[in-house]
Amino acid sequence: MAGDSDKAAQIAFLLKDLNLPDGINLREWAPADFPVIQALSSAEGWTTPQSRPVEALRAWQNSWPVLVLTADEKIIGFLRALSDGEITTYIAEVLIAPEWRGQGLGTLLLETCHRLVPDTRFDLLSVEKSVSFYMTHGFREFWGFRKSDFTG
Amino acid sequence: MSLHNQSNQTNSQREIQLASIVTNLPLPEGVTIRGWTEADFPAIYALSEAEGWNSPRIPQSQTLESWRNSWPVLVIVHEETVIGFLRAMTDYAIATYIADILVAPGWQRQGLGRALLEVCHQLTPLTHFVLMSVKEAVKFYEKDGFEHTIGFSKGFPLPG
Repeated sequence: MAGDSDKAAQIAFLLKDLNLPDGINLREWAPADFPVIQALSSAEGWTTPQSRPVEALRAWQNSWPVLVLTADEKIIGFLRALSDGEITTYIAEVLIAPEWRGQGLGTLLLETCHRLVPDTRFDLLSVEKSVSFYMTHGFREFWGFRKSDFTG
Repeated sequence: MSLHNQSNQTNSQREIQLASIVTNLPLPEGVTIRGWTEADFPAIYALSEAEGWNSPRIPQSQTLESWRNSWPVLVIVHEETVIGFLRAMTDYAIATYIADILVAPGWQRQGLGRALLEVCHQLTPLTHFVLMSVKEAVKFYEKDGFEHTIGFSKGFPLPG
């Protein structure tokens, strides 16, 4: 597994030709980011980081690639994925704060993730309002399934 | 390269945990589920090939590496012949992504796919499952309590 400084260097290298807007930066997440991630998630109606904080933090620590997008050091978006590094990357979460949407920042997060695991296919579940975003970004629709109740 | 496989379990701890889970499953005579080993890979690859899953653009060695970087990875065997498998990636706390699940055509409709999912669930009990289904398997997941959602997939470079 790549050490943390390797990851930071790798991301910095990838960003060189990605033309980030002024004041915008992208880096690997750190546990200190978690309160802001919780707040952004809650604002979007994604309740898990707030309602199950211990598990959510553990989930973030067990994921890679995990990226945060910042504007003047303030976190304005993030991407969390699970990848086998070779075939499949599952994008578990990708979010841009509402006031920062429509500027290509979600695309930037996905593109950076793609460059970190360039040989893999991306799979994800989408909410209804993001369907057109993925359609215009070359994704193909699949039958997605989710199971969270195992009592049956 | 181990990308996210950060449970601190050793392989033997995993095998012990698995064995205790599998003991309680109603499996047909001579059928069991265990963690995969690399010796299983030729059989796994052949089953995938028969299903049309292996892309000619992807070297076999790359697929093998993806299996090494995944967990839980289970095989279901009948008298040591691999008759199905499940490959997943998990964050151990919120989400498990089922990347591949297959039961050989001659062994379907006997609850073996369900047994693979059940073992995976017991290995990652805190997480929800996510997967992308082909059209032919939609009914299976609906019956197993999965909820239908919108899935998207993108390969690089784009086909065509």
